[in-house]
This record gives sequence, structure tokens and C-alpha cells, in this order.
Amino acid sequence: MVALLLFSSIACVDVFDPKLVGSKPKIVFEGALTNLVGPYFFQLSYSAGYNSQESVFDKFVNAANVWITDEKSNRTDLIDMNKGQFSTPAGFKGEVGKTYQVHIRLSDGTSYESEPETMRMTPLIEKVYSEFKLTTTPRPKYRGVFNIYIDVKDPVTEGDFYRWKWVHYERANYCSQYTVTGDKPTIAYQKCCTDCWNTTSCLGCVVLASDNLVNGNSLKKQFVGQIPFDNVTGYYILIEQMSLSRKAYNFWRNIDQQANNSGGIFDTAPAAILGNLKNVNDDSDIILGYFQVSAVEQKAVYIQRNNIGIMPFGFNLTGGSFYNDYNCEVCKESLYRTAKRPLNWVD
Amino acid sequence: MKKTIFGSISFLLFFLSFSLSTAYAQRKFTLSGVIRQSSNEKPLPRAAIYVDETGYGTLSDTLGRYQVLVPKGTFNITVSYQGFFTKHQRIDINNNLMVDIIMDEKANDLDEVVVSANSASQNVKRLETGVTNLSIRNMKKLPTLLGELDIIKSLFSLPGVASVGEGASGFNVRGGNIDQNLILMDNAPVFNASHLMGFFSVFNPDALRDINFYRGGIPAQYGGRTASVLNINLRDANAQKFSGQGGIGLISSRLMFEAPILRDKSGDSRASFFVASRFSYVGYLFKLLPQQNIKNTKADFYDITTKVEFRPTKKDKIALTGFTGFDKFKVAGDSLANLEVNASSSLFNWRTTNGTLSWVHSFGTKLTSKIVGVYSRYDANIINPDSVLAFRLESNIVYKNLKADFNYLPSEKQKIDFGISTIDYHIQPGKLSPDNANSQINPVMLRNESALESAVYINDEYDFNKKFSVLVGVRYSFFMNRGTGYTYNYRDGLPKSIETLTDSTLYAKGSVMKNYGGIEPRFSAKYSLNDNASIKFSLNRMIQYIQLISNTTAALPTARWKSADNYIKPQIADQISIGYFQNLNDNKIEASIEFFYKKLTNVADYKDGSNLLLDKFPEASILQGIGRAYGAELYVKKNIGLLTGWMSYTYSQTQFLVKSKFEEETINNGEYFSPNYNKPHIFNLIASYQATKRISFSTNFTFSTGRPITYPAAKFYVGGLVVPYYANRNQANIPNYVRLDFAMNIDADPYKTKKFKGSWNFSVYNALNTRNAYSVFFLTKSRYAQYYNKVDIYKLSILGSMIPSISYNFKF
Repeated sequence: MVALLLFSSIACVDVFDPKLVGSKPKIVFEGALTNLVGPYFFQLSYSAGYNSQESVFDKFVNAANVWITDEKSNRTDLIDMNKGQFSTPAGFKGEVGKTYQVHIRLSDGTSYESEPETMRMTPLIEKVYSEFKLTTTPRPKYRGVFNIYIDVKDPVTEGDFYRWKWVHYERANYCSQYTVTGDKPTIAYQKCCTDCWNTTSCLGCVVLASDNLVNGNSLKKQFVGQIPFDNVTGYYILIEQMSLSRKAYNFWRNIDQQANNSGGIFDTAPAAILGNLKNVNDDSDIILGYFQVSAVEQKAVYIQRNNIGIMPFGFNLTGGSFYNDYNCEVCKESLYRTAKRPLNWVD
Repeated sequence: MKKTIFGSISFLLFFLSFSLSTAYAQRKFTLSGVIRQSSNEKPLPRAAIYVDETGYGTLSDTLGRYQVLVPKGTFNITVSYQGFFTKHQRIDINNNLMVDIIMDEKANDLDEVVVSANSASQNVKRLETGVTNLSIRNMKKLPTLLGELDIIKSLFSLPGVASVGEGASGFNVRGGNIDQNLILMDNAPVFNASHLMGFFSVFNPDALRDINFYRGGIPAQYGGRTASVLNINLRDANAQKFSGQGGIGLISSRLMFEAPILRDKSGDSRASFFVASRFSYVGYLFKLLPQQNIKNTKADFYDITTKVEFRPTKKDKIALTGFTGFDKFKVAGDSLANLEVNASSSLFNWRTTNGTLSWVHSFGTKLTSKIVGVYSRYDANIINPDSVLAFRLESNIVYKNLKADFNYLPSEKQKIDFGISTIDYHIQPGKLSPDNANSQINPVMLRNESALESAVYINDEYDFNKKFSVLVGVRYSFFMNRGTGYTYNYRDGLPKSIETLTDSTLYAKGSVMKNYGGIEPRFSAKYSLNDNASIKFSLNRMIQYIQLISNTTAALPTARWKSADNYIKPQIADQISIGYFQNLNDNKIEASIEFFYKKLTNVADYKDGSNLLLDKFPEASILQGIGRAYGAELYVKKNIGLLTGWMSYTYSQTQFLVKSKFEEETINNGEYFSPNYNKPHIFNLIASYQATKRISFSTNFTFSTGRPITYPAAKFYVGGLVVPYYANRNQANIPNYVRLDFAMNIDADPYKTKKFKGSWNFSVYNALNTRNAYSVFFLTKSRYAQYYNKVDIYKLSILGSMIPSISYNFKF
């Protein structure tokens, strides 16, 4: 019996520091060209050593020439937005069926380019629905979660690859906060001058599917994401479905597999995650990341959270007042806030 | 024979007269017991036994029983029998004592040569290098994991044998992959020797007689795998009376019984059988684990081994062996990202079904024939129960073998083995079907592979004189991959991939799609420097036509077997080894040092990120290269005395080179790299001490270099994740592995003559409580990756604490 008690603590995971150091940083390209209304943003950053000291956020490629060509050699120059960000000019929009290629020329003349990527169509999202799941882990943050599923009819063509993302929008009650100093410091909130929304998405979630085993059938009950049960109001989410090329699908699948490795016997061997870009003149100079070209299909829905007969934790119906400052603040565009009215938003 | 008998009779007479005259002089005790042969525990009649110090002796009776009167004290006894190694044993007597004495055969006329590990002088006299024989008796006292005696675990204490880690299936021999070991159980191949993924092996200790393990000089009768041969001999079914044995452990229980079926006029059994079974009850252990995802793991296994032997005449022996082993293992689904189906759980199950029918016939004293038919089938399935994605993925390999082996002894100096063999393979690499009406899964059926592998061989062993012997052998093997099947064609000048596929060629049923063949020379020579020392040399080539395709850390039970075809070439290993063998201290200690160098051709590796399950175009994922393995193995063993055991140290290196004109078909920038089982230093110490007649202690100490790992060369931020970028393959090692085990055995009281004998084994696995690393891994899904540069690196220990266990074994 002693054995049994001890067995419960057998498998264990410890923090381990192999003291890895970085070598010469490599350029990392990220961004997607879609058929939604632009502009599209692309990021050129640098890799760092695999340790907790070196940063991947403090160095950017500036003063580079970046342009996109299509299969008819039409050239579109991107605008340098600083901090390694480049954007397409106004009016530029990707089209299904067209083939695009990105070109990068650094200030020292080093040139990189992507392989040609064709924008494949992506089918309609037929249905979005949710399923409530009570949290069973001890001391949960939420009483439960809703799993979001969709149904999609896969086209008869083989080699359709999908990636899904979702974004949740809610009205921003205030656009800035500051501390009022004095005897009793209080936090003051400033409302937004215009319509403004806070956004939440699952950063780092890679949700993929391939029609490899289900070609021509429905992708039924395809899991897209999970939302919290923290209120009884409808939860607005915008689901984006992107078409991927086989290579892009493999790129993201490799990233997802590395993210899910847990050191066990099922783990796949570590693989170099190489994208679709390369140095034009020097094969040994590796550029990381991916130039993704995707058709996007969007669907906005409100997930009902008041029909499951229970209340979320710590929920009370009395809302507080949010601002005490009658000056307003501009709604600044960021990863977490937008002034753009979301698709099918209902006030 | 006559000499021994006469000698012994004179001892007997001497003893009788002497004992009568001195009977009153001193208090004497009776030393009695049964003399048996080690291979099948059959009693040996008319074996001579005498007490060295007193010179008293006797002969055993027809049932192998002996009895001598000995005064109080400590004595050395010597037991001899024609055709067996003389045995010396130390006896401490202060009461009437029963001691059963086990004798090891020098050669067995009807069967292959079986040499037990106990026969010390074989270390020097045997011809080949890199051969170890272990008798199951020696293993029974070693420390166990959770009370399960496991012969594969015992192999890890031998020089030249390594493993990827605890719980990983298979073993790696002299730089070979796990699929390069030919594991034969009574001539039938075992394609997956693992229970519980890889924690235990399928071999029920009660059903085993002994094992021969070849890793250097492999005789020509063996072929088809490049690294080693693990020949597992089941016990003979030649019981004279009903008896049995078994055991109760923490995770499984065993029961074996044997009985005669048919007796001749003199009462000797002409036909006998045994059935050995083992059933697990593992499930409860997982429920005790704290982690939710492991708690839901379900596992169970069983195996049944049986054999019937019929001896119609003194010259014929017909045996039928059957084996079936079954496992099921249910894991959380996210472990299986490989299948491109997001399942909530996956049920693995796998089964081995083997049958062997053999007929041994002896044509006089010089020629023996053995005709064997083998059927072996391995099935592995994955089942996903989720309604809309419910599926069943089935795969199997069916092996049918017919062979004839001959053993010819033209003179005392020469021994010739020759034979012919043909194997028919049928591989179903994967069949996916929806498992219920709602399932959206499209059926996928990979085309069956059929192949024939035939071989002829001859081995000629010749002793030129007492000092110099050679073994010259050659095997010619021929392999045909046969239709129905497609060969896919790819655009020239481009790497093979689904995008460069142009068309396919259909081959009709039975037609030859591709064939390979080759001569496999086997050569061994031994030169004795004196009675206690020799130098040996071996040279051999092995060709392997079917291989296991797997790119996970340890191969899954469902990993695919692939036959050589148009693109995937057979693997070849050329090995040269040389050794110096020395016995010390009157054969009490045997020592050896061996050096080997192996050249590997067509070793397999995989394109980065390839998905091998249900792959219609495996040639687009498999890369082949060359390799080399070399090393030195030191082995010291003490056979006799109260303290016995062995020590082994191996230094070895294995490296692969996979290079192509295409970047994506090149690994590690076209430079040599180590496969993930390369562990340069391995040290093992096994010792057992007989403290009293009933109580013995044993210990096992292991040290090895941590296995190679690929550390990320950099991290980069993409898609909201900090992702590791890997450049050079396996350039570092995980932390070293150190483990100490202890066991105490309490055997049945030898002074009692009860038929039922029970014994206890108390073991402590990992007594130092070491958190040995199984792997080092990188978590990329850290919270707030978009803000912080923190990376999370962890070390996983699978058996990271002390594991005590208890088991009870019995015989009746």
C-alpha cells in the first residue's frame, strides 16, 4: 500500500535551466494578406536567444523596402510605419485566385522574398453554436465556459486548409484612467470621445483543420474557441475563417505541435519551423516567419449566456458608475481597442 | 560416460563402506535433493556428487534424487554429469538439508546449442563475440519495478544496450534502432514486445527457459534485422507430473501449470503441455495520480503462452507453441496531434498472436533436422469515440514463415548448420473507418503491402586445434515487394512531395514491384592464448528489408511497418568486432573487453514535421542516409560464491549523416548527428548476496549519459506565441541518469520438503529517489507571451521517485 501512495508522486515536472544563449538574431516576418478591406499590417522583428533575458520585442527592422507583387508583376510598395511595422497603401485589397509574393530589401541591400502564395477561396460558415461546460478544476475563476463550435461544408476539391480566429468586442466604458492625487487618492476614468470597443482574442491559439480525412463532407462541430461564463449578457464574437495553403497549414501545425509538446513519449521530434521566405542570394541566411495569403470568411454572433439556469460566480446586477471626468479621451487603435464598429453589432 | 559411472560407483562404494564404519564417530546430517538440468528442470539420473573435503560421493537415482551423509560444517560439493558442466557449490550444514542442484548442458542433441550464463568457461571457449546467455533463474532475484520480472529490463544491464528512457518501448543495441532487433520467441518474431506502452515486456517469466542475446558475431541462421538477435527459448513442455508456479504482484498476477498428456509403457511422458498466463489490474494505479489528464488514463493487458510437445519416438520431437498478448491504453486526445483529428480521448489497443509448429528429427548422432512453420500477427488500433469524428484506425502485419534447419556434426572438430527459409509478409499500414453513423470521417484505406523474404544459409564451425577455431558462415537473402500496388513518380530534380507527384504505375497482383538481395557474410575466429584467455574476432553483414516508421520520441504501438520498395531501400549493417576474454581465479570471475565498429547504410530519418500516420506517400517523408557506430564494452562477472553479479561499462558513439542536394531532404545541414538513443557512457552494476539459505539481497546500479536533445537555437514571436527555432539536431544532452535499486528475496525453507513453495520479493526501484530526466521540453503557451520574454523550460521525470513493491511467487 505504501507503494500506491508513493506512486501518486512519481511523474514530476521540474523547472530546468539549460543556460541557452543566442547567436546572431534572425529576421522574423509575420502578417497576412486577405480579401478583407485593408490596410494589412506586416511585422519585421528579430529572433533572440532561448532564455528569459533576451527580448524578441526590443529590436525591429527599420528603413527596409517592402513590396508585394502579384502574378502579373504589379508592384505595391508598403508604407514603413516604424517599429518594424509595414502597411499596405489605401485601396489595396487581396483577391481570391490571385497569387502574391512579398519582397524585402534591407538598408544594407540584403534581399529576401517569399514563395508565391495563391489566395484560395474559403467556404461559408454555416452555423455557429455553443455548448456549456461546468468547470471541474478546483478553485475555478469562472463557473463554467462555453465551447464555440461551427459547421462548415468542405468543398469537393482536395487540399482545403482552415484556420480560425475569434475576437470578442465589448463597448469601452472609458478610454483612459488616471490617479487623482491628494489626501485620498482616487482613480478617475475618462470616457471615450467616440464609439469605442475593447477587444479580446485568444492570442497564441492556433485552431486548424484540414480536409485530409473529411474531404467534401461537413466539418461538423468544429471547435473554434472557448468563452468565459462571467455574465449573463450575450457575448459578441466575430469568427474569422481563413483559407491556408498546404505550406501555411504545415507551418502553423508545426507551431501548434511544438506548443503542445509536453516531454512525453508522444512528442514529435523537434523540427525547424521554416516558413515560405528566403534570402534571395544566400541560402544559409535564414529568415523566419510566414507571408500568409488567405481568403477570410467572417461571421458575427451573440452567444446567449442566460439560458443555462445558473448564475456565474460573483455576479451582481447592480452596475457601478464608471467615470467622474467629463473630459473625453480619443479611442486609440491598438491590439485591444478599436473605434471601428464591428460587423453586425447591435447596441 | 562409462568412466564417470565407474568412477562414481567406486565413490559410492567407498562412501558406503566409510560411512558405515564412521557412523558412530560423529553426528551426521543428511544432505539430499534432486539434480536437475537447467533448461527444463528434468531430473538427471546417475549424476555423480561428492563432497570435496570428505571425499564421500554418491550417484543420483532414476528420479535424480541423491542423499549423502555429511558432518556439521562448511563443505564444497562437486557434481558432474556427462555432457554437462561440472558444478561446484558451497554448502553450510548444521541440520538435515535439501539442496536441489541445477546442471547446465554443454550441448543439447536435439535442440540448438544452449549455454547458460552459469557456465563460466564458455566465456573464453565460445567462438563468437558479443553473445550473452541469461538463464531466467538468475534474473528472478534481481530488483523489479512494481514486482514485475522483465527480461528486457535485464538486457539493459548488459554492455552495448541502451534505451531512450523509462517507459519507452524497445531497446537499442550498438547504435541500432529498436526495430533492428530480431526478437524471436520460439522462432516467432515479436513485432512489439511492450506491455503498457513500454513499461514492461510481453514475456511471461514463468514460460521462459533462457535467452540468447547476440549483438556481435551473429550466426548465419539469423537474418532480417541489422542490430541484434534476442532469441527467447520457452521452457520445454516435458513435464513428468502435474506442477505449476505463479506470482501475485502489484500490477499483475501470473499462473503457469504443466502436466503430462501421454505416457509410454515405462511411465515416461511422451507428450506434455504447459500454459502460462498473466493478467494485469493497472487501472487503479492511474486513478491515484493527481493530474487530471493522467487520471483518465485507462490501461490493461494480458498474455497467454502455451506449448504442447509430443515425442513419438526417441528421435522425434514435435512442438506447438502459441502466444497471445493484448494491451489497451486510453489517453487524453491532445496527446495525438499527429492524426489531424481533434479527439477528446484515444484508445490504443494492440495484440500479438503467434503460433509455431516445429518438428525436430535426429538422423543418428550426426545429423539433426528441424522444420518450423511460424504464423505471427501484430494488430494495432486507435479508436476515437467522439461522435462526429468517431473513427477506428486499424493496422496490422502478418508474418508467415516456413524454414528448415539442419545441424550436421561430421567429426568432433566440425559443426555445420545449414538451412533455408522463406517469409511471406502482409502489411496493412492503415485503414481508417468512421465508427458510427454520424461520423464525418471519410474512410481511408492504405494499400496493403505484400512481400516475400527468402534466405539460404550455411555455417561451418571448425576447430583446427585446441587453440584455434573459426566459424565461416554465409547467408543469401532475397526480398520481393509484390503487387497489387502503386509506385508513385515524382518530378525529376525536385524533392519528393505531394506537390511534385506526377503520376503512378500500377502493378498487378503478385507481380514484382521491386526486389533486393544480398550476400551476408558471417565470420568468427577464436584463438586461445591459454586455458583462461582467448582473443576473438567477428565480422558480419546484416540486411534488413522491413522497418518501423516512427518520428515520436519513443515509437508508439501503432507505428507503421514498411517494406523496402522502389524508394525505401533496405538497411545494411556491416560490423567488425574484436575482443579479449579472460577468466580469473579458477573461472570464478570472467572478464571481457570488446571493441566494435559498425557501418550503417540506408538508416532512416524523417523530414521535419512530417506526419507519418496514414501517409499515402511515405517516400516523401522518409529520408535515408548513412551512419556509423563504434564503441568499447567492458564486462566483468563473478559466478560463484555467496556474492555474485556483474559489472558492465560501455563507451559508444552513434552518428547519422543525411544529406541531399535539397535543403528539405537534408538533416543537420548535411553534417553528422547523433540519433536520440546515443548515450556515450553506460555503467551497470548488479550484485546479489546470499545471506542465509532463505534470504538473499540484490542491487542494481545504473549510470548513463543523458540522451541527446535538440535545444532551440533561438526564440521568435509569431502568432502571439514565443516559438523555439531549432537548428542543429541533437547537439546537447539531457542530464545524466543515475538509479539504484534494491531487492530482498525470501525463498522457501530448503529444510522443509513441502510440495508448495512460496517466496517473497521486496524491491525498491530508484532507491536514491533521483528525479532522472526523461526529457527536457519547452512550453510556448506561457501567459502574456506578448509582454514578457520569459521562457519556460522543464524537465520531465517519468519515474521520479522511489517505488517500493512486493510480490509473492509460488511453485507447486
